[in-house]
Amino acid sequence: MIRSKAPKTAKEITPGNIEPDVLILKNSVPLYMIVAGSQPIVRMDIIFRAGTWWQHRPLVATSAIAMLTEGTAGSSSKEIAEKLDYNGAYLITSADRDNAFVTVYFLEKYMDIILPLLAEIVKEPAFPREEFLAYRERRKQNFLIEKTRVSNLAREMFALAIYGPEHPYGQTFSCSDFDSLKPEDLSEFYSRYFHSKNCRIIVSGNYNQTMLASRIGELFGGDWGSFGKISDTKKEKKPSPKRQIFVPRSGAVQSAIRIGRETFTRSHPDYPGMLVLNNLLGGHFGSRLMQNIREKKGYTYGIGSALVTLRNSGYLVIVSEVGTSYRKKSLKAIYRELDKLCSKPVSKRELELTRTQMLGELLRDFDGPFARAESIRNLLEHDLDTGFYKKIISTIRSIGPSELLDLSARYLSPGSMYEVVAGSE
Amino acid sequence: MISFSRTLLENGLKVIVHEDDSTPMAVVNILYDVGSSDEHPERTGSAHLLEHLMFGGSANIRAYDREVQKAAGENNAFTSNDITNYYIQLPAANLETGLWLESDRMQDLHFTQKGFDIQKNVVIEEFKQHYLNQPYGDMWMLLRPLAYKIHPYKWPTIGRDLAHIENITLDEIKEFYYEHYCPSNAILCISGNVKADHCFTLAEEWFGPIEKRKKTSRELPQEPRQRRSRKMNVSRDVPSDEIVLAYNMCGRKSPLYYTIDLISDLLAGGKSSRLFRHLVMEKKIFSSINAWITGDRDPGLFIIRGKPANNIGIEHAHEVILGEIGDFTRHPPSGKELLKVKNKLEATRQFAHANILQKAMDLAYHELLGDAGVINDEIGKYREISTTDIRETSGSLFDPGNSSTLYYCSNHKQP
Repeated sequence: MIRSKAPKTAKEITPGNIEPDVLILKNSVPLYMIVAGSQPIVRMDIIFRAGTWWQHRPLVATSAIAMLTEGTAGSSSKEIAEKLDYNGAYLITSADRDNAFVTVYFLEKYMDIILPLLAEIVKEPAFPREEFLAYRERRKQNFLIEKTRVSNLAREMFALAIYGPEHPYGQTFSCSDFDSLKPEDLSEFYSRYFHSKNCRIIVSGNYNQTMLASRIGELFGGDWGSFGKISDTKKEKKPSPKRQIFVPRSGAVQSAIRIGRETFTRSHPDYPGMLVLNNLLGGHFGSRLMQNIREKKGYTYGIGSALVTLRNSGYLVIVSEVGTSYRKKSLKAIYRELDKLCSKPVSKRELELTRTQMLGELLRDFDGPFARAESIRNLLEHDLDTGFYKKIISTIRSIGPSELLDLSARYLSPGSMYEVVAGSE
Repeated sequence: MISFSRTLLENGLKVIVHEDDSTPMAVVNILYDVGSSDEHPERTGSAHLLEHLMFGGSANIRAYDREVQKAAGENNAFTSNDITNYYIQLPAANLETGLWLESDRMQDLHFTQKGFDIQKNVVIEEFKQHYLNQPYGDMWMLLRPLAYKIHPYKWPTIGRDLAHIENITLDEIKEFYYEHYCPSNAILCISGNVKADHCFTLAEEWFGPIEKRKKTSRELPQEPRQRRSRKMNVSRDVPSDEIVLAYNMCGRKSPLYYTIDLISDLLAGGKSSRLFRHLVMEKKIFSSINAWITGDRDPGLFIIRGKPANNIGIEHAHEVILGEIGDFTRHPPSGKELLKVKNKLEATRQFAHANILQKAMDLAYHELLGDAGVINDEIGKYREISTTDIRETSGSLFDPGNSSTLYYCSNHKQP
């Protein structure tokens, strides 16, 4: 033991088994099964291609999925809540831009109670009026609170800037959109997008695979839903002509910053390389932005960047909240970091460090049944298979400084960025 | 059942190991028995600021985070009123790196004025981001000094105000470190794909040589019994009102803790709970309502926090909550209702313990309370609680003289 010398570390870092077992139900719904872990618990994800991209008016997609638990043909909202709680299950619904999700966590021993209930929620929602009005009111009040946060103001304006108000990824909403939302909007949306031809299922945990597969087959394996017409019309982007946008929020002691640009979907050949580049820029604690703007300068509690991919687009975005008096200096420092990546090749040492960090993260992404389920879900959202991770791993291992410099020149030049700041004037 | 083994090093460091071979990872978790309660009342925020400085390098290691990164790991920490907890998750093969890093910063942290000044700034920005620049962000800053008059729980972990953080000096922080960061004031817990014997050998090797150092004894001033209800009104730039009720309750080690935890679940644990069903779904008086316990080591608080619906006055909302509580104390839950929250609690534990990090943190925390083994007895303790226990405990818990109420009002004009 010599304190001045780091202990030896393992060189080979590769996630273990990342392949799920894939079964195809009678109705051709794919069922992905991951058996791992030590507790007798199960997580089940049902993924519908029913995110906000598909809606014809604001709030419909998120409200439709949220209302699934608020009453079915046979059970009231209260009965559903009672049954879930009594059996120690957690059911979470959510929708993002492309997809909608129902996720339920339960103890394996209660599968004969939870699975039929889940089938009922997913296949026979009633969208009862009373519960809908209560939901709408709660959501509206929450929306008004969320709108006071500078981070939300900046995020919303950033999406609007790169996609425009007509495009589903740029769409915003206001109070009046809540008032005009009707339960019929939700049932209509439901009938189009929630059925056995538009869903995938993932089950993860430590469970009896044969038994669970057969129960899921019985409950979800037939044709269900009304196969309404899916309309995926072409949507027009109208990026903002202004590259710098300020959103005033009086009294704010910090300003939220969003700097970024549109990039591409996950199947783009530059995606794996950009993932590495983003990691260098702001993808983790040791990244350049965090090290410079927080750890060297102390302008912020946190700063980072993300390479976001959607089904029909993608963007790179730098995110931070900084003290109002550090706003100018922070912006300058951020652009300097972008400039540096565009003009100077990354050192071998820094690149090696990034490779190790990213492989470590991948290891954690596949550690345990639920992490693996999320990683698989992430692929399914983009219609990709596990081969995609293999490609990423090989890029992490092999990409060199000149390729990164080339990617920086194409995607990180300060002039190509949109800059949104929300805060006090 | 979470199996574990433990040992005590000569310098007083407690070491716990939990083996779980279903993962390729390992966790190194160190809990220091120091929190914001141990601060000088004029230097609040010190424990948390020191937590930031713990990542600034130690005697033999210049860049802590970079070394974690080199070992493909991830690390973080948190500070509470009671404890400061650090952890690293990394591939099990790199376990030793974690022990090297943690032992070096326990032995001798490397302080610099520059690093200190920067982290002070970072913490000030953290204060702004989480407490000043968020709607309802200063709620705890208001409620704590209302509910506590004597006990150091009266200030939040981040610090009582920005000036406190600004005024802390490097020498004061150093002193705080040497006072509290010694082996006998820490619990090391290793979990994951490891072997206990090997971990004990490594722990002895890396931590064994650390000097024992004197542990400061803790004598926190205890809160006297509250006899009269307290109330506070504030007006803020938020879109809707909020009401918060705080009742004094027992500490984490009291047998009543489990009963009161169940009471919070009965009232507001999940969408089938009483308050959510009655006040949000049926009467539509609240748009959201929650109840929970702070779970502190010393006597803590039972909190009820809700946002009245837009057309509901805050006084009325308050009365309605009190009505529900009165109803609860008069009509205790049915056996089925009680069984429901027990089932849910047991399932929640199972979900939480699917994760080696959570297991390591829980084991270390129970060891701090007296015995890591209690982690396996707690479900049994909850199961034993009867509806009579619930009735008897809620009667004294919800004594109006035992409460503090905060009206956090919107200064926006009502439409």
